[in-house]
Amino acid sequence: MKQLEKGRISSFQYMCMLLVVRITATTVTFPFMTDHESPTDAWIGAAIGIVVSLVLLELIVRFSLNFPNMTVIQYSQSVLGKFLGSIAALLLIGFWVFDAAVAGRAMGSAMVNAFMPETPVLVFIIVTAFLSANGARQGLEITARWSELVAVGVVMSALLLALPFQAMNFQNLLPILPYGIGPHLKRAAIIVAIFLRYSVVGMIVPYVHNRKEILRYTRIAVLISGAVLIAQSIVLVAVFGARATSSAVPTLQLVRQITIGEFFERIEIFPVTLWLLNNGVNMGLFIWASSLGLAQLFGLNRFEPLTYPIGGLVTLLSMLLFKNYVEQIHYLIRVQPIFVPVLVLGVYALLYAGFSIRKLVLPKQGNLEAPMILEAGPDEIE
Amino acid sequence: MLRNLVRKIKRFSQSERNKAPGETRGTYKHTPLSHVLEVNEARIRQAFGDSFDLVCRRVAIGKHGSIAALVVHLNEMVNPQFVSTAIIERIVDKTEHLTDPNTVYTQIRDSYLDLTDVAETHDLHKVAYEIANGNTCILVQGVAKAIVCQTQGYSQREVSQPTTESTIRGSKEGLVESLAVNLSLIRRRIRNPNLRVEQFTIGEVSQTPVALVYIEGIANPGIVAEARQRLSRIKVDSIQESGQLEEFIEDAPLSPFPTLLRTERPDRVTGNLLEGRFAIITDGSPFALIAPATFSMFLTAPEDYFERFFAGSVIRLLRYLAFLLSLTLPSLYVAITTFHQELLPTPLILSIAAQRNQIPFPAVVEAILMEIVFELLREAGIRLPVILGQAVSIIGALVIGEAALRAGLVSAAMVVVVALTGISSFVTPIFSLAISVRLLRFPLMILASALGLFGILAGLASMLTHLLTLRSFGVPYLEPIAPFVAGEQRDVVFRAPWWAMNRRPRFVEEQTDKRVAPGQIPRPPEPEQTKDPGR
Repeated sequence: MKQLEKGRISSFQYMCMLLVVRITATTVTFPFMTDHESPTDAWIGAAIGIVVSLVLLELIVRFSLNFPNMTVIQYSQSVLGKFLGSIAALLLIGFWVFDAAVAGRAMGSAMVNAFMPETPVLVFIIVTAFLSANGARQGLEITARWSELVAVGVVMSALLLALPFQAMNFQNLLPILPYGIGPHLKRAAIIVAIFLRYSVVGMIVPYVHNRKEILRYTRIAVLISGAVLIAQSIVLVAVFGARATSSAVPTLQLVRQITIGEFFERIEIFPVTLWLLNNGVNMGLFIWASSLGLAQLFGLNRFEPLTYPIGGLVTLLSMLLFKNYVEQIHYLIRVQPIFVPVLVLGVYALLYAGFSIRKLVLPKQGNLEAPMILEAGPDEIE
Repeated sequence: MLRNLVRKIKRFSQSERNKAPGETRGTYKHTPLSHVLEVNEARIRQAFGDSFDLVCRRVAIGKHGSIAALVVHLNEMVNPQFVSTAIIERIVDKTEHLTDPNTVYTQIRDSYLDLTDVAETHDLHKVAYEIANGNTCILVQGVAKAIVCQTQGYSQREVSQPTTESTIRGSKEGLVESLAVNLSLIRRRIRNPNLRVEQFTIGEVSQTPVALVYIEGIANPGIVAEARQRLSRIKVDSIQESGQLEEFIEDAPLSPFPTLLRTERPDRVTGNLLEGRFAIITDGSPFALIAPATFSMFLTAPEDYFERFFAGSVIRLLRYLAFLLSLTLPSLYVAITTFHQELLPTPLILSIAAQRNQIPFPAVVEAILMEIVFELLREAGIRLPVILGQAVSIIGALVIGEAALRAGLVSAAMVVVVALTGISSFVTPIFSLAISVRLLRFPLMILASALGLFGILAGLASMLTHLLTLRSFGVPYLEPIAPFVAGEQRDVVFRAPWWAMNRRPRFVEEQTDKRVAPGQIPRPPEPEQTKDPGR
């Protein structure tokens, strides 16, 4: 097996990458808040979504740990055979490229909406995609270090949420479950769809130095980002009340209201800067994952030359995906919660089915690392 | 593309390296010395092309002056008094009772010379190189060997204050051009036999002595071996300054950032040696090179460690701020006045807008113009003879500060920005980092003029990606920050008190050897049963 990616990352870096991947999607454009009934108790939906995601991710990561030295692309073929395995791998790769495009578009339209309305959105996406592809080209270690720098900053900047405490009115939260549990399940589906971007861990796991800590750090990452999410939904409602749904970028609006000593007014520049960097790192990670996946799938010698073409693909896709902002929001709220779980969970279910069948039917099959993995599996996990 | 270029360059240098070792320009074959003194003398004269300053002094020694001997040296490279009293006088006086040339030779070599460092050689060309190195060679008729005496004595600069890194507190000594003096400055600070000095001779024509210094038991042996290997593969005609050496051994030859730290201060050298790094000292250059270098080292001044730690930490924080300012301030000005006027408080932006109303240029042209003028003034300030220095400052202050403003060429805010940038860039303690910041400022300004703050962010992000890929002798350039090492944060932006700095950086393997014994926080003595509690 050719060693395409030589980097090794620590489990702390792994956790930071997970934080980056999740926080990008929701911090500024807070999709699960918009266009829904019953916004006042939105945190219930968030909590349900986090619990479900925790369970699903536990399963996905545990399954990946059955193959401690292979990426999901590599073991998909050893589990499902050449044909089905390649299809599963291509689906995942396609999803990562697609998701990078969605993230790029979200970033671009937020920039246009909030800061530079006269600049075409393409400019922001091209620049970010180029820089991300450049970062992805340098390998996983660079992306991991970037994540470290950014994730710490983002989690710190979540403390900004506590600043407008004078404007908070917790009475706003009050009617709990006025419309029953229904809207919350929809919300939870949005959250789960966002957390399922973690399917990318299938590419990262074999490069983590200390595998025993992977599960623990996955849980920590989900809980931290879940805590930020819940805090965000509570603070937004406490400050804005039911109006929180009416803004496209509610968090940004919240931070805009903060002034320090009536002189430092526009401090949203700091969280936005972090968020932009975050987005770039996130796109870089997905571009890295899809380039490496493609290279492994087709048995190439290097994955680096693929990063710029995939960056270009991401740019094109992000322009073609949505005609306008309404369509983008529609995707985030109506399409993504069904499309992403079906795709990701479907692929992983297929892989798991193949894996179990192999385990049952062909226990002594000499194909690749399968027998060794079965023995090593449980020890590796805990 | 750059990568391909580097690969090509590497391949080229590889193919050069793989040539048969030996006969390149400037090196001589091994030629044995002759028994006949006249032949040896002729050959040495021939090797030096009968140079004007070559002194071949014939001395008659032995009983009744029966044995001819030859004392050879270069006139201005030796201490003449030393040669006459410690060598010539001695060999003439002491050998008066001897007749056999071989006995004379061995007696001179072993006991008669009033010198500490004496060696012997059979090789004519070794003799020639030793003479060129400022040593004196003694040859005796009938003996095919030569005694090499260390008599170097040329004028050198006195140890003085370092001119590029001055401090208020701390040693005032700076390194000088002489390797021996520099080594003595370092040895005097670390009086330990584990301080190792390895000598390399680099430069096939210049034969420059270069020393690799490290502390055995603290430095990581792998890193030292890598340094040794990189030094020994240099094939070049001459090394005149450590900057040349730096370009041969650095990790990232095409990066704008320096991956070796250079310093003029012996205390900085020893401080880094004690943290497990190594130093390379080049004869003829007062700048030592230190590696593995990490980014935070370039923003560290020796004073941080000598002042009390509160002051040290705050000043260091200030320095990081200054670094960011000197990098981004002009581009921030461009971005904010062009795109994001709303970011400034209204009265301020109104005042800036009122000034800019008169200015014929767009903000980016104004900024680049002023930055170039400032760079010109700075460069002129370095090159001008000291006597003319005042003229530059008058021109700078009057022409730029007053006339350009009055003529409406630039706005007052721009002058403030340029001045602040300039002052911030002087704060960087290591000049080589300040140079790269000077270069990187201009692309950032252009990006800011095109895309505003987003452009600055994009520029900084690509810069950071580059910094994250850099390594210095295998150690990541941004080491304690990313990859994040929690234990080393005590000496990055903040400087922990000395009694808490108990560990060396992570790349040092010998972690068992702690720096500071635990539990040394100074405490006042436990109060005894005080007799007068009111005191």
